[in-house]
Amino acid sequence: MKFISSNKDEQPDEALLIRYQQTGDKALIGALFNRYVHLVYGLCLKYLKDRDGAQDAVMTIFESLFKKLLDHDVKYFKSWLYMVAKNHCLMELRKAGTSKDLNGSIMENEVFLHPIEEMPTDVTDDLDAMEKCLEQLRDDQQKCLRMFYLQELSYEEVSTKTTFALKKVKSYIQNGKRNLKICIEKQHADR
Amino acid sequence: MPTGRKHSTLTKEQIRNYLEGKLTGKNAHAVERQLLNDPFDEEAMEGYALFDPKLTETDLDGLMKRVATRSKKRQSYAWRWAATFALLAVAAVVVWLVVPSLDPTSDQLSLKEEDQQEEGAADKGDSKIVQEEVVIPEPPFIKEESVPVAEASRPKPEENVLTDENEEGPSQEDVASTTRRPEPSADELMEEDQVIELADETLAEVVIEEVIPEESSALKKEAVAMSRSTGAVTRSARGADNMVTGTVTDETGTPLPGVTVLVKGTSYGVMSDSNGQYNLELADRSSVLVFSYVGYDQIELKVGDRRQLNVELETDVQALSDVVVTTYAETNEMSFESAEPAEGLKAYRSYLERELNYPGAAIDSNVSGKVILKVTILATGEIGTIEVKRSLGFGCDEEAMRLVRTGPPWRAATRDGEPVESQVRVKVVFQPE
Repeated sequence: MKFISSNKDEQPDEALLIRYQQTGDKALIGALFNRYVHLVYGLCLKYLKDRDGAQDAVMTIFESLFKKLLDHDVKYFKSWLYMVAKNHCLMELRKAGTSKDLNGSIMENEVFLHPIEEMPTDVTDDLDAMEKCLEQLRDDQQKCLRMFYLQELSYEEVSTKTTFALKKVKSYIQNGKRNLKICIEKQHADR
Repeated sequence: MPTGRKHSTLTKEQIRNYLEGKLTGKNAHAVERQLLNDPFDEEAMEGYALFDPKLTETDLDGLMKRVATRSKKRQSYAWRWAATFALLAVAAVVVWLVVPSLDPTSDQLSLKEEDQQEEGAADKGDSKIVQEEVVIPEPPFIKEESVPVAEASRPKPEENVLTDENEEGPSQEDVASTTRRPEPSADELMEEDQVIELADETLAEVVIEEVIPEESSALKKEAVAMSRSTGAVTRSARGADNMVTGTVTDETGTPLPGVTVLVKGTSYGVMSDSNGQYNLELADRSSVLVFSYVGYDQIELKVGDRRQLNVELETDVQALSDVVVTTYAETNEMSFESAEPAEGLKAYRSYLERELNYPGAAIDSNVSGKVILKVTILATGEIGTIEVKRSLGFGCDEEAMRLVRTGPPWRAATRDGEPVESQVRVKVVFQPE
């Protein structure tokens, strides 16, 4: 038993998963889940807006993993867990939804995630394509993106340098990044 | 670009520090970048922003502990299973090794059975009592016959080696030794009752003292091991228990392949095979199975203690009639035929051209164009009302209506072969030559 629990902490998620599927050792899932428990809890807080409810949800999600992970072939655990956790929260909201008013933020988010476990990619990886696309962006978005990604400034620093409000900076970067991604993907498709 | 970044995840400290505004410059940038890259991190951050970080941090510590204990409590079924199987295997080997060296007696078999029951019964108290009973008759054969004892004890070291590898060795040793020790003693007890009675007091004490030191430590360990291994036994038993099999058939007893068998409330389930058979492992005996198949009534059944659940699905009348209705709708459309001139469209068109009298007023005014009429053809084939949809004036409308009304007969439209009333559009062209 010892040789399994040793160096459990350094192994990649997927190695722990495979080992769990082979041995059924629940401690592996515990260790794996605790790597992301803070994210799961934060996510539940966001949707359920209630600390007790969120804690219950975290434990329910955790309990469900033992069975799910036995036969699911999970390629990228973090994305998969995100999907499982988010769907759980949305289900909880739906159950309660008839009595409570659903506010806009929930409505717009009420799209269930599909189990496509993609690795989140950083669009800035492809420099050539990025530079071309950057030039096609709106000036304010371009400026913010350049400062953020190329000069590696924080939102706050970008805000002081550009005199844009912090919220504006955030939205410029988010929207700019999305446009950039679309543009880069297009370029890849054209090639 | 460092690929390591792709796998990164914000730590709870990063989240807290960022929210409290403690991060600046590169550190803040790194967090923000991760937020942009992974919606999981981003949404978690949004969640924490809603609450007091001190409270959520204690919550989180509690959660991590709960997760750790939840996963440890039921840790490593696999090892317990393995241990249980190892125990049984070793027991079997030991019995097999010992049997040839001793006379096979019926006692041996019955004792073996008793041991198994004892293990299954999971009762610590009972097992101790049985062991004490078994240990006591040991002295006589040690004293009376040295040869069988030597034989009997010979496998012991070997057994120790085997079981010591295993954490739960002691319980195994006891199980094995209880099966072995009583055998010669049982024989001798019958033959030399008296000797035993005499020797009993003195020798029993001596030998028990010998036995007890090793036994007492073993017993302590065994108490722990027993409680664990009994858990394991019930678990392993559960694994086999929780299989449900059966055959799904229709009303006539014909097996139905491809029937969906689901555990109610989950998406976990199987399909019946080409022989209508299914095999499902359940997490819980109280589960309800849902059998469904297109065109058949869905059936829900509690599993309970049954291992085999044969199911007969009944035809879903509703579902079938639905299908039939759809087919009718199609034939309806197919069977509709619109009204036509009895002699055909071509003949009708030439009739219109031939019989058309260009009204004098129209000629004088040099009018040309077309009149469109909506003509109702009754179910009898007679011409009903005539409506002018597009008028030309100068007597052309009247001329067109006269042509249709006095013209060749029509054949009524039919639906499913039955004549019905319908409307047709007739176009009359006025073109001066």
